Amino acid sequence: MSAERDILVDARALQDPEYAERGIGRLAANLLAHARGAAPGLADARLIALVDARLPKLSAPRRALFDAERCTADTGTMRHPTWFIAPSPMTHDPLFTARLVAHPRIFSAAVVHDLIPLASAERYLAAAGTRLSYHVSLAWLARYRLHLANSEATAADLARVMRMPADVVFGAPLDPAFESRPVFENRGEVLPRRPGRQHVLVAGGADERKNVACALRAHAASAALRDGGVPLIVSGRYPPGEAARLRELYEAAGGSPSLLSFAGSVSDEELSRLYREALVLVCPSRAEGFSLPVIEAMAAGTPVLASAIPPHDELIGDAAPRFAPDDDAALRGLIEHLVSDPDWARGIVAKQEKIWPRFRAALVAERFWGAIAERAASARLAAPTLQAPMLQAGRRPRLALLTPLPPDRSGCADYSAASVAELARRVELHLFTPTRAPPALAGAASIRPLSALPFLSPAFDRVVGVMGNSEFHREIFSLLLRHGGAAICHDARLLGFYGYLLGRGRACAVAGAELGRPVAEAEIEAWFADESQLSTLFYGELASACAPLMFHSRATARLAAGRYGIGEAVLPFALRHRWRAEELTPAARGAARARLGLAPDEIVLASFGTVHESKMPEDCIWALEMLRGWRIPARLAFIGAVDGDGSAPRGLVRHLGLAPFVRFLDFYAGEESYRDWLLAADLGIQLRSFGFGQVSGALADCIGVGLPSVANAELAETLQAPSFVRRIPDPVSPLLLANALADLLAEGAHASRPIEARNEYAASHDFARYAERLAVLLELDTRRAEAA
Amino acid sequence: MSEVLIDLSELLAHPLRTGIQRVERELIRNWPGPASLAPCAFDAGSADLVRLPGSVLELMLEAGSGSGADALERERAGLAAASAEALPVGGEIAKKTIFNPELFYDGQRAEFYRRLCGSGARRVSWLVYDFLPWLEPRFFHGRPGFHGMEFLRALRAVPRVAFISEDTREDYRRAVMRDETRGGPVFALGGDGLGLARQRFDPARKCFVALGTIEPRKNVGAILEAFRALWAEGVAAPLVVLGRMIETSAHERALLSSLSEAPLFTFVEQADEASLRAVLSRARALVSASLAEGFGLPPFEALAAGIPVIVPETMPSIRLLPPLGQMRLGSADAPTIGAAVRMLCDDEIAARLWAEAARLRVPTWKDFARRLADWLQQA
Repeated sequence: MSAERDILVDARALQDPEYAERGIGRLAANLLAHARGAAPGLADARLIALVDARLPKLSAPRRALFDAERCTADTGTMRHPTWFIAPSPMTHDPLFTARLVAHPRIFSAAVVHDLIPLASAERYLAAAGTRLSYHVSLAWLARYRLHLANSEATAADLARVMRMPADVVFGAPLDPAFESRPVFENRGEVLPRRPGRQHVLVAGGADERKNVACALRAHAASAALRDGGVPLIVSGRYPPGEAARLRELYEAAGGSPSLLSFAGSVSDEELSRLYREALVLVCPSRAEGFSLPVIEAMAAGTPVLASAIPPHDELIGDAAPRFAPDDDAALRGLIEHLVSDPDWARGIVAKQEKIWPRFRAALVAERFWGAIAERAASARLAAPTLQAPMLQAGRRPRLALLTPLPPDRSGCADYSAASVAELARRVELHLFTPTRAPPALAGAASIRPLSALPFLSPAFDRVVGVMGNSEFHREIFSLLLRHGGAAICHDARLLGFYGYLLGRGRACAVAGAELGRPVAEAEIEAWFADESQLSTLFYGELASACAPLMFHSRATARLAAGRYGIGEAVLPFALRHRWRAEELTPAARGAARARLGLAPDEIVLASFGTVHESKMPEDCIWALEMLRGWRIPARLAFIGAVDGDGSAPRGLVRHLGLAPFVRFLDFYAGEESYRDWLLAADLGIQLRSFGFGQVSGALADCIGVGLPSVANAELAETLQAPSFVRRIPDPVSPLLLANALADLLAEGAHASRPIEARNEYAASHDFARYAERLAVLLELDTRRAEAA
Repeated sequence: MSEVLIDLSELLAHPLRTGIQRVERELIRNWPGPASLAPCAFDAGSADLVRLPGSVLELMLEAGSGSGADALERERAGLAAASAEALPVGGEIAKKTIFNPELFYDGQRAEFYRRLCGSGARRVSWLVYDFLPWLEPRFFHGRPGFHGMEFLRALRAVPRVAFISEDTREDYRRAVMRDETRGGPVFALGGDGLGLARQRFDPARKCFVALGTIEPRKNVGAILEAFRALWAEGVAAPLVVLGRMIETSAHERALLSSLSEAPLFTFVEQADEASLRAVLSRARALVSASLAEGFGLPPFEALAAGIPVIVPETMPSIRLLPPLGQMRLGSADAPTIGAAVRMLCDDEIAARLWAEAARLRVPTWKDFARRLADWLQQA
């Protein structure tokens, strides 16, 4: 049954070890644990954790709070009315969730815990970078639709500092671990201690605003406490140096070293015991947003003495057990009074036991979720469909395409550039590129440096990253992993990308995760040596972050769908090169041959694209050897950059004495030269040593120019190649290749181009269809745009 | 001509009992003369052929007739000792009669032959078994077709080439030389290697036998599926499958496993020649569904013993014989195989096929060796 509503929760506070088990992590967990029954309509809602892959995974109990997980804030595939809840919007990178905060069809709500850093900027925001980050977070905080403050004091700060009143004050939930409430038994009249309550507990923490020094001085100065042997325990974690400094301060103030201890990191049970067994909890803090220790102690039936600051005023009300944060003498008097006057202590407990119950987690969650539900119901949101904001505004959909562009030497770059004109007819196309000096491309609304902008701004209806195995895709990959979006996958596998660019360790880890077993480096090396033995595609990480993952062949899409449990998204390859009829005439071919210095009677076999062992150049060379052995005066040209030093194919050429008949174009064939070779060649050869539905752009180029070619069967099938592409079975054999070439020559296939078949194929594989299909896969209804 | 130098490099390195090594042993055993057979091997150090002691041949025959790991080890040790006594061939090698009966992947050895033949040596002869690694690469792992290109390159230079089947010769002409005028004689292998006495039909012989390694090329899966369908229909035709399982035969492994409880089915993975003879002596017919073969010795041997065969019509060995005692299948799929088996379950039809098989004269290893020797000595 599909949920009626998705509630996406920023779960980073639950992942981050700094917060996961205390403070904001605990707060978030308690709010989530009681979400279902907290407000009407939430029972069927789907709670989704938005997790950051850079942080540790959610612990099992924290994961159990959610129905699902997602790792990006991409909105492209959201299908239900969605709320986005940020339980701690100031603690982590706000850009990670920015798209959700600003999205017109998402109701966003943020918890505001405090604005303490602003009040003590010299302490918390002294560094320029920290200051900037904090203010960026504040700027994003302001964009939430609903702000839920944990206290009136925080709400007042929000109004004062941000000029933005908090919408709701909901408090903070008391964790059930602290709810066990024993009866208070003050044995003060029989000091020194007896079993039961016996120490003074101070709500501490390494932050100086906790003002523990005040409590230390007060305790140290008390002869009664010292003589009675009443220990002082400071809760909270302290670095060793800080604890030593406080000890010195305590001793200097006259305290007995043996009476001071630091609880350090303790379990809930231990902390609860410390509360229960305390004579009093002292909260001397100078600043708080809420003050959980106050209500935790109250729930333990322990009287609380707290500093006179607004949150404590608000929580405790009664002025009697209060002291100015700098007045340790007053605090000393209050402690001595409390431990020596059981009636006064009982009176305080009696008052305070009326306070804490309203912070039981279920009640706080009710206020919290109830407020969200009420405000969301009245919020004016865009329609909860996949219709894009721009379309809803009656405009053309705005698409951000992240891609390398020429002059980067990449087939993907060329391909993207070739697609721009047709894409731009359907969408407002903005290109974001890592390429330094991209050319102007007709149709593109803008071409900008690659950045996270399109992911963060809801002004872009869809963001699509172009992925391939080369270095040009490294940043795009990072952005996709971080922010999601859709991806066009040019390669059937990312072995090279992981193995070469991200390192063997990462490759092993990703392969291991995909295969569910350890993968050693030796196995990665074996896959590099023979990619046909590859066991997985290396798309697992992208599949978890991006949707849809679009592949240029059905075979790859099917493999990916099966392995990663994602939808099958096929975006059939379009022919990159456009050819006018007059460019394909025999005369035009002759002119191209002349430009390349090829004799009219020379038989030129050409293999296009990077010369890499997976393209089987040695098989091509052996085939040439066979052809020449059959007295066919053929020559072979590799039109593309040579991967590595090319020692294997070059060595074979020398060994076979074929040097005069084989050319390696050791430069990246420029566009004009590349087109000339496509025109000039007599036969093409495009092979691939592995399958997985890998599309060959070079074979598509051969088809596009009507060049009769030989390809291995699977490669030809991925493009549904026309009959002038002769198939040889997989795996390839040089003998079969040589015979296929010789047969084509014997049939005279090289004498004239099959223009009719070429035209037919080109008509059904153009970028117009490509753009149309892309819009369908992205669920962008472009009909209105076309009409416009 | 006083001698024929026979290049036994592979046999020396891998003294197996099957495949090409078996052919070499039978040739040595049945060599008729008059020229003597002089064993030699390619020596990588000198990049030349070296002459092995004559005792190598005796060793190969003696040990080759034994079985088991001990026999193999004895042979290995003996061959290693003998090869240590190798000497240069001596004389002008280009004028000698040299015979290579082996497929090999040693580029240096190939280069030796290419240069030798290129230098004008006219008495170099090769026996070629098949071109399956190059023409049917889907059936092979590790791309032997690519790694064997040096062999093909050398083969193109060899002046005298013989074949074990018409099909192989046709492949040589069509795909390797692309010249219809090229190619030497075809020498059928021997069908009598099993030592099985001539069999007679008896209606009590109910059992069908499939023989050979279990691998995708042999298409044993189709046979198993055919029989499973027959058994489901109530046809009581027992099937015995004998053959070693190849690592990659996942489909066949699963099928065999699913049939392990079938009462009419027996699978014997490790079978020596004696148990093979025992099974065939109860057989009504031998069934083969192989999709690609260089020759196809099992049906040849079954027919030599008078046992009818169900075989694909493309089986090269059978195409060398008149169509007697055979059910040649146009397609090696399960329904076609099943239909043929159902027919052969009819005693009358079976008796007729057995009578035909009895009229066949299947070449022997002696025939093979004599014809090959004659051709070599004509060089």
